[in-house]
Amino acid sequence: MLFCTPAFVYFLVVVFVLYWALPWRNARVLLLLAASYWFYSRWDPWLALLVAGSSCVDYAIGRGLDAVRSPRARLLLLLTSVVGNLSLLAYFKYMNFFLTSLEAALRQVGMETSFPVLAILAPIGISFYTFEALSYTIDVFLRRIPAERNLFHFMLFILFFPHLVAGPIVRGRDFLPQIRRRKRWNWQRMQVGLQYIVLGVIKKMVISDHIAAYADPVFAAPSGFSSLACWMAVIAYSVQIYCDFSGYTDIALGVAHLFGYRLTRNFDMPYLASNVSEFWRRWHISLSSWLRDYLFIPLGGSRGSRWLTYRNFLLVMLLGGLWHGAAWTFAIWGVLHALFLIVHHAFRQICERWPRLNAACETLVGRVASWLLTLGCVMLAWVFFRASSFVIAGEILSRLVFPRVGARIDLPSTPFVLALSLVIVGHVLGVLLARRQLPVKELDWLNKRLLNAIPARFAPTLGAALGIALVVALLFAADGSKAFIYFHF
Amino acid sequence: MPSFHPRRQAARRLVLTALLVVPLLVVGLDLCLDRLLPHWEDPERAVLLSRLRDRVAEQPHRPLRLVLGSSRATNAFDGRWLSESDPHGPLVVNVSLVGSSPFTSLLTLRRVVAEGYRPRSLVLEVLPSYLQNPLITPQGQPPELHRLRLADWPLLYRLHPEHSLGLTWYMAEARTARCLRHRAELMARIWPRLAPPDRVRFRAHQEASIDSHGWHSFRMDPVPTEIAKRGFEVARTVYEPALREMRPPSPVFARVMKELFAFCHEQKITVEAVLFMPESSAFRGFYGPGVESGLSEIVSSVCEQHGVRFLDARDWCPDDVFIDGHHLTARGSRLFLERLRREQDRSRN
Repeated sequence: MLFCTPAFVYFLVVVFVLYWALPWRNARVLLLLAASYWFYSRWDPWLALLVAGSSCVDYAIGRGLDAVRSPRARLLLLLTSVVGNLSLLAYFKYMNFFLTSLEAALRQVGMETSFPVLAILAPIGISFYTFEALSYTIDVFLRRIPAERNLFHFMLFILFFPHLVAGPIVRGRDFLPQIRRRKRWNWQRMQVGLQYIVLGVIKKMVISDHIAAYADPVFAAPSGFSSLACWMAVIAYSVQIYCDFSGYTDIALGVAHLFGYRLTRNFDMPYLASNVSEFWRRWHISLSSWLRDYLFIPLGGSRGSRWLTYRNFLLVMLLGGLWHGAAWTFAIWGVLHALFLIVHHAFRQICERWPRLNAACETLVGRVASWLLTLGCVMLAWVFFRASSFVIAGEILSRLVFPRVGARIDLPSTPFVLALSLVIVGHVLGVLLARRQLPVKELDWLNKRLLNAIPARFAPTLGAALGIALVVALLFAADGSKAFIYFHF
Repeated sequence: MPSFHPRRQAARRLVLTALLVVPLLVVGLDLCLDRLLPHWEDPERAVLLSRLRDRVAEQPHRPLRLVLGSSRATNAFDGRWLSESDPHGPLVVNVSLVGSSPFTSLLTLRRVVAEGYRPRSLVLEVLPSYLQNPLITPQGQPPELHRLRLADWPLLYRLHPEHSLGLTWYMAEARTARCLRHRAELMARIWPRLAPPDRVRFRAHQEASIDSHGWHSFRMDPVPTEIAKRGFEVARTVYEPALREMRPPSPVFARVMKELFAFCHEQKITVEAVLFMPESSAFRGFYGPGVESGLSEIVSSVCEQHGVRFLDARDWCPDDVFIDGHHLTARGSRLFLERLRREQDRSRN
């Protein structure tokens, strides 16, 4: 059940009405849990059972970690959880990848083998809820949070339908207290939820789905296309993946707000980053902070020697790349980002020794240049992320670098220009609103940036504008709803 | 009245306004489509009506004969040939619509009359499979819901009283937020460069493929084997289940025909003939035992009651003039029309 389909709208309306009609807190939790289970089982009831089953195991391990005093037994429990969760992930997501890679490696050394391709249906969102479960057991092991005593609360933490299939990756310490808190109807929350949903629908249905048409044909068979078409496709894909994923996240955040929950923010205008480190603080924040907290820092972070830091960058980004998908193209995407991070880290150290270089970087020209360089690096890395093979990625990169004549994309350029303009206008607005640092205790980032910038008497006008924006977005939506890209991860 | 914090009150106003504006806008756009721009939703009918307008404007004094029916009639009736080969006869315009049932033919006729045209006569084609379930078309959908306007609903309910619950369900599903459902079609008209290119191409193709008198000709002759094979398989999937066994006659068909004949009588329109269109021998193999003759009997008895001639043309054409077993090629159309003319001459003599 996709977020942008009538089926989801009906589902959401029914669950929303029932949720606020129920006066009992526990009944609401059970309702959300049942709705989440039903939501997931629309894809595959057996995989929904698997997710529920693995959540029960993690719940039991969490309770065990809380109850057991012996460090060795606690470590054993933690290992059981880590190995169990990663085994499920490895089996469902990476088994065929391992087998085909092993087969290719053996062929390289002259051993002809043929492993069968297993017919495995990977549970949607497995990478997301595996990381959520892992962060929970690690936090309980490290006594950062107490184990959740209520099984239903724990299961809702994992299964809550807005974040279940494509994040954001929530942490137990953020989400579990919210389940325990009594929910009261709050108009401000509803408003924030609505704003997020409208923003998400515009990003996904108007921008991402339209602009995808410029990327798909080129990434399917780039050999016939001109360099200009390849550049258009790379720009289109950069816009598509941002609007697709952040659009999904916005809808997820908005839907969660409608039920009185607040999910982690996942994006902060990442294409405005002026270096790759900043890009990762703005892009898929819930994943990058997870990798930082549970992988990079335990590996030593940037506290060790220079080479150790570089090794850590490489390891974390390689795993981050593979987290997205079982293919070497994702691994290369991760390695490329690791190299960017390493170069940036080294450059920063040089800047510390050369104050004049540092000052030059801080000028307007220097900032624009570093922004363009970062954007260029990120866009080129997307080629590996999107391409289905190295041959295709290589073909596109060669066409980007060496001008070639060839076919144009057989589509009118209006949707491309319009989508790009919308993204640029959105970013300019975002920057302008972000400058208004209003010292108000806020519910939410978007609320802070958008609503407080507008006087209260304009609320009905803003409401009407929001309603009109939603209808216009639905009218301009691409024909046929496409699945969110991150559903595959 | 509960007192609200100003910001909370602003949020409440904002949410309520937004929630009010969305359905109001959608319903407003739906009504606008229904009342002012029905041709945007049903471009095929719009093209046919514009052809009719142009032909009548060219020859205003010539008596008008309409052809009403489904895609079979669309492919078969070359109105220009019929009009030109008999300069003293009527001006023939084909206003048949793809997937049309007699109910839709009735609606088309009412629209033509509402636009101020008064045909002297008409030929009506009936799809045999329609008789097996007049509510559901062979494609498994209620008949042409997207072609209905709000003003047509009372007639639909009057003629299908036993299906009112099912129709209400289908209506609710198909007609809610129709401006959003048909957004690609709307966009193709408002801002073609933003519409899906295949939709724009389809619309252009649809308009170009209908000739000046409403005929949709298929000129590939012989039909490429691959196209014929694929088309026949589609026809098998769609029609064979509906024709395999005889079902008890539905009163809806008789009611629709009665309404149509009464309307014609009221408007002084002569119904020249009711037709079953030609089918290939392989297609006729879809009929179960007794179904072919059973369906003929139902239509002929209804026609007899109203003094209208029924022609069963299912075996009039050889197998090599079909595109997919039930749609005629241009050559097939000529063969069929010549035979039809002979039959009419014979009946007159």
